[in-house]
Amino acid sequence: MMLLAVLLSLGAVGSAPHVAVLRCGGSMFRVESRSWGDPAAPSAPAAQSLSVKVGRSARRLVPLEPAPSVAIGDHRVLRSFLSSWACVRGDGGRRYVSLGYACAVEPGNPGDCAGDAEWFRLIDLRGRRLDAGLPRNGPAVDGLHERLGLARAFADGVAMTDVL
Amino acid sequence: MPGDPVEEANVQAFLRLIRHAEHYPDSGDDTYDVLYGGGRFGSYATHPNRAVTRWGHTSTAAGAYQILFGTWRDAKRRGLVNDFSPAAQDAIARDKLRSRGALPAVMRGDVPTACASLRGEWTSLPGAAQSRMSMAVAEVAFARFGGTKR
Repeated sequence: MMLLAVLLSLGAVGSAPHVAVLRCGGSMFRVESRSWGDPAAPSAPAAQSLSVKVGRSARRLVPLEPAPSVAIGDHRVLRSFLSSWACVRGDGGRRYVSLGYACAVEPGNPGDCAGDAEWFRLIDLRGRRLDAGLPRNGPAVDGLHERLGLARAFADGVAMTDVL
Repeated sequence: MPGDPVEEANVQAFLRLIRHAEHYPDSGDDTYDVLYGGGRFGSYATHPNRAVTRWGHTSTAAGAYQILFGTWRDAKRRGLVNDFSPAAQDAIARDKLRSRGALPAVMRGDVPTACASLRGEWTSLPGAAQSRMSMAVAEVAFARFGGTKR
């Protein structure tokens, strides 16, 4: 019964998923987002998945940050979702992927994302989290950027690309 | 859009107060092309969507009101704006006053009540986590920008 409810709910979501692709080094990342077709609906997707294909290997799923669905108006959407991304090159020449997350709930409203409207995560070209266990912001993130040779890139500003 | 000239003057003064708070202690004038961290962007055709890390924080905030990319994308999707021009930035900020329920307080010149409603949106406003401006300074600035309390 519950599965049926989920399927019926997904069936009402805009039929064709929006797909965005990012090539970074020898890897190809792909994010698939399903949003409500209704222009009055929130732009946050109702479902989203990220996958990576490294070289000639089989494509596999990359975990996104866990996000419960929330009701906004008459629609259920992901509370937080992948909003934009970039392939970033460190000082040493290695490449990484910056994932920009956004919150569907405005900061200060009940059920918000700990007061953050957006935050960023880093993964390597295999899709592994490089900042696991670190807070979204703060000195630890600065330290990680330093270690990976990304401090200058982020100080200058990394050009992100919309995935929705 | 407020019809009363005093209410409209208060909205304009409050928008200028937000610009001032976001770039404090600078005036907030000439900040429509400022990126988070102080850099400048070159085109108003679209939101720059640059992730800048400064002061231990990464953000896509840009323009006079330090509008995030996601906020601009939502406004564009709703047909509120087509670009990231100064007029578009003003329109988004004004829309936030409305959606956050702050517009009545802004129109009557009640700066503390308006700030309380908007702290989640602009953390530079008095009482918010990152604010460097006191409420007294904000009220003086609001009056200097042409706002009046009713």
